Amino acid sequence: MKSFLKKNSVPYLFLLPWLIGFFVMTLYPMAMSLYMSMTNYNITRPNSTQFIGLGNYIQMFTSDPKFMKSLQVTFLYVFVSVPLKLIFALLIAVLMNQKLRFVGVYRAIYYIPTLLGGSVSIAVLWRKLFSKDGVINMLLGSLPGINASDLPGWIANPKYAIWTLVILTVWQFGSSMIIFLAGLKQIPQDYYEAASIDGASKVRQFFKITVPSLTPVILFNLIMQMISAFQAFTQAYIISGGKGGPVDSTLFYSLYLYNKGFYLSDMGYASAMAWVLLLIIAVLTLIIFRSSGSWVSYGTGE
Amino acid sequence: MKKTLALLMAAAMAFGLTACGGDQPAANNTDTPVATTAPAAEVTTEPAAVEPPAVAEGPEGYPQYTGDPVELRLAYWGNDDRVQRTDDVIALFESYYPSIKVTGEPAPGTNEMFDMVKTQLTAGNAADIIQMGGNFADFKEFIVPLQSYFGGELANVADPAAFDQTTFDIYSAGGDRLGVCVGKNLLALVYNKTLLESAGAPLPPATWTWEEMKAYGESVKALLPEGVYPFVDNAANQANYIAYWFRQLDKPVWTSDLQTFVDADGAKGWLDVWTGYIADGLVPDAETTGGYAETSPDTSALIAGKAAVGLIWANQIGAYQGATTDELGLTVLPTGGKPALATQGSQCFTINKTAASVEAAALFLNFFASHPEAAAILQTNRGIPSSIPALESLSASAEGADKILFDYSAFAAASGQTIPQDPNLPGDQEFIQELQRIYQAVQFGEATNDEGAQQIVELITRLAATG
Amino acid sequence: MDVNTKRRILGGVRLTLTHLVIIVIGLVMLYPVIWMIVSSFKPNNMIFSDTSLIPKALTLDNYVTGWKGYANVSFGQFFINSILLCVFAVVGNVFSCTLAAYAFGRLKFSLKWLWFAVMMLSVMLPAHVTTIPRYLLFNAFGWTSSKDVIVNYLPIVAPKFLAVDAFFVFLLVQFIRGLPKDLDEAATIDGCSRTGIFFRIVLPLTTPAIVTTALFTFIWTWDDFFNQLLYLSSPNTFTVSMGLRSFVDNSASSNWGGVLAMSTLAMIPSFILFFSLQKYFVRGIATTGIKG
Repeated sequence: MKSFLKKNSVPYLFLLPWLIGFFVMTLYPMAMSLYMSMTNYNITRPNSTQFIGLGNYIQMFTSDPKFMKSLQVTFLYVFVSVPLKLIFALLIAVLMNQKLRFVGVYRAIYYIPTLLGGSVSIAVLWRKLFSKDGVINMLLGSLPGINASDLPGWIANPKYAIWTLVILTVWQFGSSMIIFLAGLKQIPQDYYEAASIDGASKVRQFFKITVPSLTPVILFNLIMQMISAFQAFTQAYIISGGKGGPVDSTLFYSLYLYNKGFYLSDMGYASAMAWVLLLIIAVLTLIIFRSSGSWVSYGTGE
Repeated sequence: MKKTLALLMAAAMAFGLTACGGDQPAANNTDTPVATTAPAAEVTTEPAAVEPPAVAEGPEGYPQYTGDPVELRLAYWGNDDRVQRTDDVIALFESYYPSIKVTGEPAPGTNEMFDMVKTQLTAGNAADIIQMGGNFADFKEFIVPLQSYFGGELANVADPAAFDQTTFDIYSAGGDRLGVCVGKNLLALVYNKTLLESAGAPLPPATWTWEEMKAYGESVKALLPEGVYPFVDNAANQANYIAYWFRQLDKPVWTSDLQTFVDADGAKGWLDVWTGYIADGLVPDAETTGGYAETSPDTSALIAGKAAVGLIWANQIGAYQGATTDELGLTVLPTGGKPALATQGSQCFTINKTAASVEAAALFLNFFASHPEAAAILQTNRGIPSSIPALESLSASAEGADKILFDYSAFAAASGQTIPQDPNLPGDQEFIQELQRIYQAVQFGEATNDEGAQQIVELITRLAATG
Repeated sequence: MDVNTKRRILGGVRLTLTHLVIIVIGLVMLYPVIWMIVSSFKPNNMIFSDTSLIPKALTLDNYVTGWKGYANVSFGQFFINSILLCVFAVVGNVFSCTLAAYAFGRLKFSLKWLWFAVMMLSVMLPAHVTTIPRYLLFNAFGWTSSKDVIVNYLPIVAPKFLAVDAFFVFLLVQFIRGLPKDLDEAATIDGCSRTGIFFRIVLPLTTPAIVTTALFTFIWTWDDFFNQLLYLSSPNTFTVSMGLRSFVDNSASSNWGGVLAMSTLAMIPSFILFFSLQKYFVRGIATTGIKG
C-alpha cells in the first residue's frame, strides 16, 4: 500500500486538473451523447423521445444514401489532404529552419493563411479564386491554348468542389509547420555536426537524422491531422453555406452530422453518427499507434 | 491496445447508462411542458388575484400592465440596422411600461440564432420572446398559444380594423395561434432597369404568363451583353417558388388540412421550364448558378451583373437596391392556372412557455407590432407592416425602394393573384435543402428530369408524412 | 577562377534561388490575403464588381463602419473581450496541459493506459453532439445567461484550466517523450525528485512545445465561433469572431466591406504574437548545456 501510494501520489497530483476536467466536463457529455444515440431524440420534440436501441445505427448503414455519400467524401478528403498537408508542412518547416536572412519574416508570412482560420471572409476569397470567372480561370485562360470559357467553375461543379477544399486545407498548413519547427529545434545540433564531418549530404542528413528524430512529432501530426480531417467542418460549412453542395459533393461527415443534429434537430441520429465516427477514428488511430513501434523512436535521436 | 480499447468502450457505456440517470434531455424536458401546457389562463389571473393592482402602466388605447417588475429576453436575428431599430422600439416600450425590462439577444443570421435557441430550449434557458421563421411549427411544443390573450394583452393586434389578421391563421398549429407577425411579405421578380435600358431592351411587363416570360427572355437575350443572361435560375433556391407553381396547377404542396397534392407531372413541368431555360441560354449555366446562393444581395447573380431578372422576397428590395448603383424594379411572378401568389407573415414573434411573464411578453408583442410610434421607428425594416394604420401612413410617404415595395404589394393585391399563405411543409428546412440538391443533380446531368421529378415528389411525400 | 571563388559564387546563386523560391511560393500563397486587404479599402459596392488588385477608388469607410461594431457595441470592445478571453485560455491550457502531459509522458502510475486511451477518445468524438449536454451542464452550474458578465465566459475558460483540450496534452506528451531520457536518469541519480525533474528539466526543455500550445490556444480561441455563440448572448460580451459574423446577414444586406476590414485587423494580434514568440521555436534549446 505504501509503495502504491509512493508510486502514484505524485503522478496523480500532476494529473489532477485533467482528471477533474474529465469527470466534471467531459465524461457526462460523452456518456449522454452515447445514450442519445440510442434514442430518436429530436431537439424540438423532446416529449416523444424513445429508446430505440441500435435503430439509428441500422438506419445509417441500410437506408441513408446521404450518410454513405458523406463517408465517401470524407474518406477521400482525409486520405488526400492529410498526406499532402503534412509533406508540404514538413518541407516548408525544413526550409524555414535554415539560417537565412529574413527567415523570421518568411515564417510569419507563411503562417498568415492559417491565421484566417475559419473566418467568414474565406467564403468570399474562395469563391473569388475558384468560381467560373475567378482568378484561377483568368490565369489559366491566359496560357496559350486554353480558353477561359471552357474551364469549369471549380467551386460550383460537383466533380471539382471537394478539391477546392483540399487546397484550402493544404493552404492552411501553418499549424503543422509550427509543430514540425518546434520538433526540429529539439534535435541536438551535434548530430548534424557529426554527420557533416562524416561527409553526409543534406538530403542524406534529412532522411538519416531529421526524419528519424522527428518521428514522435510526425506521429502526433499524423494522428491529429487525421482526426481533425475526419472532423472537418468549419471551412466546408462556410464555403458551401452549410449545405455541403453542389449535389452533396462537399458533404463532409461532420457537416452532415451538424445538419442532422442542429439544422434538422435530429440529435439522436447525429449522436449515433458521432459514435460511428469515433469508432472509425479510434480504429485508424490504433492502427497507426501499433505501427508506430516500428518507425517512431523516442528520446534517443539515433 | 486492442483489449484496452474494448475495455474502454465497455467502461464508457457503463458510465453512460449510469451517469445519465435523471438528466437526459427527454426527462429533463418532459416536465417543462407539463407544467406549462395548461395554458396561461391560470397564470394570467394569478398576479391580479393575489396582489392589489400596482400602478397601471401602458400607452393610451393599449392594454395595461399591473404585474410585478419583470425582465424579458428577446431573441431575434438581423443586421446592425435592425438591431438599432429594435433597441429603439424596446426603449420606447420601456418608457410606457417601466416595470417591464426587455433585453435584446440578437444573432446575425437565422442559422446562428436557431443553433443557439435550440440549445437553450433544451436547457429550459431560452429567451422569453423568440422570433421564428417558416420553421415555427417545429417548435410548437415550446410556444405559448396566444388566443387567450386576444381579449387582453394582445387586444390591439387582435383588432381586425387595425391589424391584418391573415397571418394568425398561418402561424398556428392545431387551432392554436402561435405568433404575432410584425410584417408581411410576398415573392416578386426584381429586374435591373439600368442594365435592360442600356441594352435597349424593353422592361418586363406589369403582368405576364409563363409563355410571355419565355418569349421576353428570348427577345432580350440577343440584346444583352455576352455573359449576361435574361433570368436568374430560381428553380430551387426558394421552396416557395415551386410551391407557387404547384398552387397554380391546383396541386398544393401542403394545405392547412395537412395534405399534399403534388405529383410527378407537376414536378417535371417545373424542371422542364428551367432546364429549357438552361438549354436556350436564358439562365446562366449550372456552374455559374452554383456560385450564387440567391439568399441575399451578396449571393445574387442579378446584383453581380450576371442576369437581368430574378426572384426575391419583396421586402428585400431595399437591401438589393442598396447593394448596387443600378436602378431596380419589381414585377409579379408569371401567371397561369390558379392564383397562387401567397402573402405570408414575416418577422413573427412567439412566446416561450418558460417566459418570466407571458402577460408582459404579450404586451411587448402587441406594442411592437401595432403601436404607431414603433412603426415609425421600424419603417419597412421588418417588412410591409401588418398594422393597417402603419401601412397607410408609411405608404403615403414612401420613397425609393420603399415606394417600389408598397406599389408592388398594392398592385399584387389588386391583381387578383394573391392568396393567403399555405402553411410550410413540416421539415421546411429539409425541403429547401433537398430540393436544391435534387435540382443540382438534374443540372449536372446526374439525374434526368423524370428522375428529378420523382425524387421531388418522394421528398415532399416523405416530409408530409411526418406532419 | 580558384575553387573558393567558384564555391562562393555557387553558394550565392543557391542562396538567391532559395530566397526567390520562398518569395514566389509566399506570394502565391498570400494572394488571397492580399486581395482581402486591398479590397478592405474599396467602397462597399465595388468589392464584388471591381475585382482587380489595384482598386479604382480608395476609402477608409469599411474600417469606420466596421469599427462601429454591432448593436451599439464597438469592435474595439469585441477586441478587448477576445484578447481577455484568449489570455485566460492560454494561461489555463499551459498550466493544466503541461502538468497532465508530464504525467503521461514521463511518469509511471497505475491505470495510465486507461486514462490515456480515454483522453484520446475524448478528442475523437465530434464536438457537435456534446454541445447540448455540455450546455446543460454549464446551465446547471449557473454559468449561462448570468447577469454577471464574467460568469458567461466561464464555460469557455474553465475547461482550459482543467485540460479539457486533450489535443494539447497529447502534443506536449509527444514532445516530452522525445526528450533524451538520460537527462532525467542523471538528474535522479543527482537526487532530483519527479517534481524537481519537471521544473528543472522538462519544463525548460519543452519550451518550444509550450510556446506552441500557447500560440495555438490563442489563435484557436480567437477563431472559435460556435462556443462563443452559445454562451455569449449579449452583444457587449461578443468576441471578434462573433463580431465578424454579425456583419453577414443571410437574408438582408451584409457589410462585406466591414468583414474584410475587420478580418484584416483581426489577424494583427495573432500575427504579433506569432512574430514575437517565434524566437522560442527558433532558438536551438537542445544544442547546448544538455549533453554536458
